[in-house]
Amino acid sequence: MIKIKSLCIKGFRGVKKELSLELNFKSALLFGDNGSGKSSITDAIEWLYKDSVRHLSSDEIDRKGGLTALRNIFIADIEKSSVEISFTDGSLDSQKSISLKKSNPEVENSNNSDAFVEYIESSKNENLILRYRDLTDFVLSTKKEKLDSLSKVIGFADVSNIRGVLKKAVNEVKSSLKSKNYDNEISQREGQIMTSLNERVVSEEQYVNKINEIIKPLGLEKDVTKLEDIDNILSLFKKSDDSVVIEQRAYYSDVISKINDLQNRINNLLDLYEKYYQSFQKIVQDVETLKKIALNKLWTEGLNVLKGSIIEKDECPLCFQKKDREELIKEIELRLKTLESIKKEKSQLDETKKSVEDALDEIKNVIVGVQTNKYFSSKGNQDIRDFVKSITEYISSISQELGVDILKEQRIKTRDKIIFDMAKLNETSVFCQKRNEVLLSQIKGSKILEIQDKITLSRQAYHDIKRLKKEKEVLEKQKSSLEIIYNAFVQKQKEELEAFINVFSKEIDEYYQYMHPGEKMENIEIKITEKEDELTGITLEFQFFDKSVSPPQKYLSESHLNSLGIALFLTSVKAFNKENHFFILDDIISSFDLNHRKRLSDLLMEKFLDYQIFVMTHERNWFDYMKNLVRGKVDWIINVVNWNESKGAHLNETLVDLKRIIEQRLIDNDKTGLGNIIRIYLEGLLKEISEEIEVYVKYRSNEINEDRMSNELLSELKSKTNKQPCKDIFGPIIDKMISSVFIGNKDSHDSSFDPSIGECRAFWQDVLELEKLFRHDVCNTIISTKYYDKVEKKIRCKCGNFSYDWKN
Amino acid sequence: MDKRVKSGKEILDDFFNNILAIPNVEEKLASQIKKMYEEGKLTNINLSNKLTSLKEEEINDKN
Repeated sequence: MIKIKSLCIKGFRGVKKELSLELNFKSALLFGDNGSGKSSITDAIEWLYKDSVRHLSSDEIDRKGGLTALRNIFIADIEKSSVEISFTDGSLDSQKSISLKKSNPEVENSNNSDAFVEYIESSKNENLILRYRDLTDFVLSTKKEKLDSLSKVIGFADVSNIRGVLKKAVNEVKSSLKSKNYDNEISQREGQIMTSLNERVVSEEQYVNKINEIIKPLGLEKDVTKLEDIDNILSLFKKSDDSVVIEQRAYYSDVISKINDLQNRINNLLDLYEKYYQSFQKIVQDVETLKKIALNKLWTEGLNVLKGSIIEKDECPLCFQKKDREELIKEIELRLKTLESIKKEKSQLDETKKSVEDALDEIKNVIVGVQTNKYFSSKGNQDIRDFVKSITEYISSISQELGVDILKEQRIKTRDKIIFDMAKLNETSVFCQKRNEVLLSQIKGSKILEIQDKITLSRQAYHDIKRLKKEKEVLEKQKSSLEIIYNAFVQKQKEELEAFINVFSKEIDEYYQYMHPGEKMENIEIKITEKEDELTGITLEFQFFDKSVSPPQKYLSESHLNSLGIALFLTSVKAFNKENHFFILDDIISSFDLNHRKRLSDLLMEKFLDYQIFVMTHERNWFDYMKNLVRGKVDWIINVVNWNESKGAHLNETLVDLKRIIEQRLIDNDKTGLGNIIRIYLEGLLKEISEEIEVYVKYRSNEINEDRMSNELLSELKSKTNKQPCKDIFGPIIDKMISSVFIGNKDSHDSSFDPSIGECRAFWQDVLELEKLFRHDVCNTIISTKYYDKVEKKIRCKCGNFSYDWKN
Repeated sequence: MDKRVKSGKEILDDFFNNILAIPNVEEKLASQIKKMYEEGKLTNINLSNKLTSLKEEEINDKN
C-alpha cells in the first residue's frame, strides 16, 4: 500500500517559495498558528487526488476562479504553482502544476501513465483527508445520503443494480405464466377432445388406443402406435368436397379456443393498463420537472466540460455569461440530482408501457391466427370478421392512449373507458359453435367423414395441449430457478452488508468508546432501513443512558458529534482505503477538551501505528502532548509551519537542513546571515542535548520555553556536566562557547551583529566539537539517560558504543 | 478490518462464481446468467431475451 516519501509544494495556496517535507514514509506532526499556511499541505494533496479543493468551492476566496485561487497570490505570472510528490511505488511519482497561459490557468501533470491514472482514479473514493469542517458531514446527512455515500465507496450500487435485473426477470416469468393462463387453455382443449371422442383423455397411450378404436371400422392394415401415425392416417383420407366441412369445423373449433384465450389476455391487458395509468397520473403531477429530463443530456455534457477543466474561465460554457465556475458546477449537480427521482419514475412508466405493448402484440398474434385461415373470408363468416374488426379497433384505441405524449396532453383514458365488450367474445364463440353443429349435421351418416372429423379435431386439440403443457413446464422451471437464484442473491447481499455493518459498527463504537470511556453513550450501530425488500437508507443508533436512540444530532453535543465523526472517518480509513496507507487530520480537535484530545492522540498511536499520519494543529497544548508521545520514535517527524512575506508558508529547518546550509555557505564564503543560522543550529542542538541528558531549566510557560537561548542552556549544561566524573572533557568547550561573541542575549539575533566569515568558521568548529562530545557519529544519536547503564554507571548512545562515566 | 469487508464487485464475483453450486437451479440457465455477468452484459433486456431463447430452444428440442 502507498505511503508518501516526499512532498514539495511551490507557489501553491499559502506557500510562496517552497515547502518541502522529506518524509521517507514517516508520519508528520506539524504545528502552525492560524494563518501560518499549514492547510496548504492538505489543499495540495486534496488537489492532487481530487482535482479540486472542496472547502474552496464555496468560499468567498474562490470568487475569482477555481484554479487561479490555488496559485499563491504573490508569485509572478510566469512562475508555476506545483505539487510534487513521490511514493512508495516510484512509478507513481508525479508533479502537478498550474501555469498561466495568456492569463488562463493550465494544468499539467508530469505522470500520465496508465498506472498513475488508475491509481488516482481508485484513490478518489478513499478517505484520505479529514478537516474540522467535514467532521460531521456523514453523521448529519440524511438516511438516503448515508446509504448512497457508503454504497458509492464500497460499490454496493452495482450489487443493487444486478439484484434489480434478477428481480425483474422473476417478475417477467411470473407475469408470463399468469397472463397465459395455461391451466384454463389446457382444460378448454381437453373439453374439445371430450366433445370429439366422448371420453376424457389423460395420457398419450389412452389417446392412441382411442384412435385405434375409432378407426377399427375402416379395417386398416396397421394400428396406430404413436402420435405421428395419426397424422399419416389423416393423410389417407381422400380429399373430397365433404372434407371441406371437416376443415371448416376445425377452423371454428380453433376460433373458439382463441376466443377463450383472448378472454384471459384482455383481462391481463386491462390490469397492465391500470398500472400504466397509475404511473402516468403520478408523473403528470410533476410534469414541469419531467420536462427538464430533456435537458439532462445538455446539463451532463456541460458538467463534463466544466469538470474536465476545458473551460477555466468564470463563465457559462453555453451562454458565456459571467458565472463562478465552482458555483455553476454545484448548481448543475443539484439540478441533475433533482432529476434522478423523476427519471426513475419515468423509466418505470416506460417499462409498464412496454408490458402493455407486449400484451397488445400477443393479442394481435392471436387475431392474425384467426385472419390468416382461408375460411376467414368465407361468405358466412361475417360475424367472425366483425369480431376481428372490433378487437382490432380496440387494440388501436389502446395504442393511441399509449402514444399520448405526457408532456403535451397530460391525460389518458381511465381503465373504465377502455373496457372491451366481452359480450362480443361470447357472441362470436356461440356463432362458431352453431356453425359447427350445422356442419356436424351435414356429415352425419357418413362413417368415414365422422371418423375423419373426430380424429382431425381431437388431434389438433391434443397437439395444442402437448405444446401448452411443455411451455408451462419450461416457464415454471425458469421461474423456480430464477426465484432460487434471486433469493440466494438477496441472502448473499444481506449477509455481506450485515457482516460489513457489524464490523463497521463495532469499530466505530470501539474508537468512540476509546475517546469517551465510561460515558453513557454505548453500542453505536449502523442500521439498514428497508422498504418493500429494497434498501432505502442507513441510520446511526446507540444506547444513550441505556435507551436505544437515533439520530445522534438530537442527543449529542458538538464535541461528541465531532468525536463520532472522527470515529467514522478512522473506521472508513481501515475499511475502504485499499490503495493508500496514509491519512491527514487537519486541525480536527478544536471543540475537544484536553482530556479528549489526549485520548485521540493515544488512539492514533495505539490503533494506527502502521499508518502514515499527518497531524496538523494550531493548538499548542495538543501539539506538545503529541510531541511527547512521538518524540524519539523513528517513524515520526515533528516540525513547525511558519509564514513570512518572502517565503509564505514554510517549515522550520531541521538541524540536518541547517547544517547543510551552513556548510554550503562556508564553502561559498557567503557570510550573509550565517552567524544567526549557526546560532539557531546551536540552540537546536543544546535543546536536544538538554532533553537527552536531563538538563533542567527554570519552568516557563510553553511559548516562552520555545525561546530558551543558548547562554541559558549552556550554563545549565555546564552545571550538569560539572557534577560528572567526565567534567573535564566537557568543561573547556562549554566555557569557550559561553565566552564567545556569538553567545549573548536575545538581541544578538538582530542584524546589527555582523561577524566575519573567519569568526563564523571558528565558531562553527566549536559547535561541531561540542556536538561530537555528545553525539555518536556512527548511530547519530545523542548520549541519553534513556540508555543509562546502572551496573557500570555509564551514560550511552542508542547503539551503546559511545559512553561516559556518569552519575545519574 | 480490510479482509472482512468485501467490495460490491467482490460480492458479485463471489456470487456468480458459485451460482452453479446453488441447489435446484437449472444448470443451463445458471451458466448463461454467469456468462452474461462475466461479459458485463447482465441487463434487463439481455436477460429477458436469453430467457425467451432458452424457452424456445427447450420447447423445440423435446417437443
